[in-house]
Amino acid sequence: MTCRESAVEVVECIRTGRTPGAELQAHLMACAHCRERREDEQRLNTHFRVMRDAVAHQPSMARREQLMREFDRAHVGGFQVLWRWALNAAAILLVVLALVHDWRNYGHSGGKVAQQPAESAADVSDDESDFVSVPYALPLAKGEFVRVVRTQLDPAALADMGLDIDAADGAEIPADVLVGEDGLPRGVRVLPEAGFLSLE
Amino acid sequence: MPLSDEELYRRMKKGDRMAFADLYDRRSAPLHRYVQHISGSYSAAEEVTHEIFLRLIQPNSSFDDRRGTLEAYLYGMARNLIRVIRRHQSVEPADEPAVEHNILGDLIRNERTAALYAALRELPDAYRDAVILCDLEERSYQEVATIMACPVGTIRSRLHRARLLLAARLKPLATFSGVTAR
Repeated sequence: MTCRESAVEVVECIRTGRTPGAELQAHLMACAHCRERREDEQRLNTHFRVMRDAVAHQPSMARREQLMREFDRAHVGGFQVLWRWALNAAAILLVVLALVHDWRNYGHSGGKVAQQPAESAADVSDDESDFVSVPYALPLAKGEFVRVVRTQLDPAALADMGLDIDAADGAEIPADVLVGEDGLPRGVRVLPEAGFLSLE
Repeated sequence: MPLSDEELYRRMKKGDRMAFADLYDRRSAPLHRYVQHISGSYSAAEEVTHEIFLRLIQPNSSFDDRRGTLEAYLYGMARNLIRVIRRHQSVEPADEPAVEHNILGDLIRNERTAALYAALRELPDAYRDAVILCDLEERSYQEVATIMACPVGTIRSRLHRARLLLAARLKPLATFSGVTAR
């Protein structure tokens, strides 16, 4: 056995705890250098054992729990993701529908106009007497086209125009406003179905 | 029969919590010890091990089982993260909490073991990994060859060379010490 072969065999015997074979033992008896090498290797092994025992053998449990939470966060199930998207889409759709509904009912002027049926002065003239003239407004010209705008008016505003409405709770009153071609109001009519019939 | 790492990984990717827990319980401790041996720091081992598994659960984790085993991938990640930590420490030294896991700190203060740790860290990466995995982790040559993606004979020769270098480093200290060789 050569010294090189002996060195390899020594390391393997020390690492595995195997008893050296007869050939190796004979070589070690004869070779001081290899005996010294064996002692070095044994010393090294002792240190390795100390180092093995010294390190912590597990990461902390807190880290494990933290990772499990991260896993839960990162792996939200596909079904749950789908549901989240569906709910978000439904919420957006509802908002859009509500906006469209508002726009249709109240127009895009931002006012409280409920209806804007366009009528000619001739059509209106039949029941013109229902309208109370807005104070200081110019009278309608003959043949002038007018519009009747259905809206809700404050009782105080109606009172200014000479319509004394008894709205106990201060609620706004449904009314038609007669609008001239110039866009200015000419007359107001409180709707009979609103139940405020005490016109003066 | 226990599931392979790769199978656990596949299940984990599909959202199997238990698969992730099994994978963590199987691989975190050896990785943790590996980092401790290289860095000599418990807190570095905590950080690196945590970061490895954190990256593993990210949707964009780059493990590909056609290129090697998951274990080799994990150790590769550990090596890279340790390099990053070392670069960081060269600018701003990490301060180890005094109360934290003092066994290793005490051990490093021991002159001979400190010399061995220093020698271990000065070894080329391939030699150092052979020592840590074969001698400190007591893995077989075959297992280490798989992790290091090289032939068994290469691992064996790296280990022998590394041990020779380490023994030479320890020799002067042993002259004055009472270390008992077994």
